[in-house]
Amino acid sequence: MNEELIQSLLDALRTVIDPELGHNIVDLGLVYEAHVENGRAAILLTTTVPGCPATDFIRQGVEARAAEVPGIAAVEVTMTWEPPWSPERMTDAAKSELGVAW
Amino acid sequence: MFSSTISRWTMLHFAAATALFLVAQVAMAAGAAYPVLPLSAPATLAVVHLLTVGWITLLMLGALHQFVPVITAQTGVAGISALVSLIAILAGLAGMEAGFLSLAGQLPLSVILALPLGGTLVLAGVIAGVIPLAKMLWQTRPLPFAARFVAVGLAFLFATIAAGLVMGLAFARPDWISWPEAFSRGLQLHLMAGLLGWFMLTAMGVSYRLLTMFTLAPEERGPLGTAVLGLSAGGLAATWLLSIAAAAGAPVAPALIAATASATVLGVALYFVDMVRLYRARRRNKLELNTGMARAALVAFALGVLLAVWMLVSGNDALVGPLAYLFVFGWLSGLGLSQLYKIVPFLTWLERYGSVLGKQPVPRVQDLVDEERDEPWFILYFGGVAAGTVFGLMGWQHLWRIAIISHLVASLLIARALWIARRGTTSQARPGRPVSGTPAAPPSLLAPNLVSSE
Repeated sequence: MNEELIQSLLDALRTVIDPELGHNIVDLGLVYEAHVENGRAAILLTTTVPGCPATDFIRQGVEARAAEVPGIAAVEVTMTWEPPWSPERMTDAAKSELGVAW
Repeated sequence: MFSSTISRWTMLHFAAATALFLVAQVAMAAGAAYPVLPLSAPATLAVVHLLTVGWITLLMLGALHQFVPVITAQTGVAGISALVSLIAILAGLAGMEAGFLSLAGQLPLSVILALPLGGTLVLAGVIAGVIPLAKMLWQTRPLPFAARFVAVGLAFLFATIAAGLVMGLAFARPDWISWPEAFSRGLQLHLMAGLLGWFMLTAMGVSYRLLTMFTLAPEERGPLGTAVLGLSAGGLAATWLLSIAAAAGAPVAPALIAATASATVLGVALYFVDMVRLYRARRRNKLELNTGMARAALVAFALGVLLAVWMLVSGNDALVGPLAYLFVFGWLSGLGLSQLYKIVPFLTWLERYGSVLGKQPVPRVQDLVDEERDEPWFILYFGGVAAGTVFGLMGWQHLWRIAIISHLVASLLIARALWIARRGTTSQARPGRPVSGTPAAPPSLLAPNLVSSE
């Protein structure tokens, strides 16, 4: 049940994009961790670069989308830049679509 | 309400800078300044300051207000001080222009005092703009790699204005300062600090940050990057200080100045090597228009350095005009225009779509521009500058003016593309979920309707 809920959460977060790369944050590897416990979602999130001007908006977008997932009553989003994001974290499909070498 | 990470006044800086860039090119194309008039003609000086203060300085300050937080990985951007800075610089520039036109005989001679007064106002504006940037840089010590170039560049900005003020005062009050002496000593220091210290070093630092970010290249530049920084910034600072000492009458061996200047050139040469390395190591195979066209600006920079070395070796001062033209239009303006093509849509996206991200379908930043439509204008721009440089070197003045007209037209079309990105609409929202809520309103150019960060 919990795994299904986490999958629903990640699916929902795929509607949130990094505006510069133009791809969803899950397949870009910007979601470092996602847990759900007793209806409370805890999401560890990063951006492609520290200090990214889109940081607040991505965090708010994640909070808004996660809160709409059935079964999730509360959302806590934590930003981190450790370890720093790198293109290796992207899914193969995302790399292929963006023309990123790997 | 404004997001804490969006610089509210950056777009206004960009709008003013772009308008003044176009005005300066119109003046050159119309024959109201160099290359029709001599380099030292007051009308040329008026256009030169439209380009250097009005276009490049405002462009760089506007960009730094937005990107110093990115470079230093800090939150928070300059507030009202950025607007005060912009207004003071524009008002001061207007005074300087009046002063130069007075020197040219187009305004009463008494207006000449507007030159140092305007310069003082520009200095006040720069101080207002730089204080929040310097504060942010100071709080980030030890500075990240790219920010070190910016810090040295900002220091040179003050050196540029200080040397310029002395010259302006010498023009306006020759009874205070013997102007031929002040001019000959001051001009060299003014140009070195402005073109190389403020513009070149800052552009190098910004290019390191933006190009690694946009091409997904490794940010760590290693020993080569350290050598670039140490030799270019350190060499230039040493050259500038030694030149001041020599101007003040201190016994400075010319060989010492030649050695520090050579170190600067070596540092810049290594920068080109590092840029090639950066592009080769990028993870994003397909370049976007901004990073693709930045290569043309880098080539212009490299050719400009070769030309400068050739000029110094040959002692051919006639190359100064075409060299300055290539440096300002090819390297600095070329890099500026190409990066505006990314930054303006990016900031527009943040303002227009940031608050609805995750709540309704949104386009990508790339969807706000049409690269296929605009690529020819960049090719025309860089082609025009290349042709203009060749015509200038050959002394073919009329053809040079035609080349200037061609990059003026290209600049207008690129400015139009930025305007469309700013004001236009797009239907290329990303799929993912049904549309909900009302579409975001297009932001205003002059008073951006930034969205809440709450």
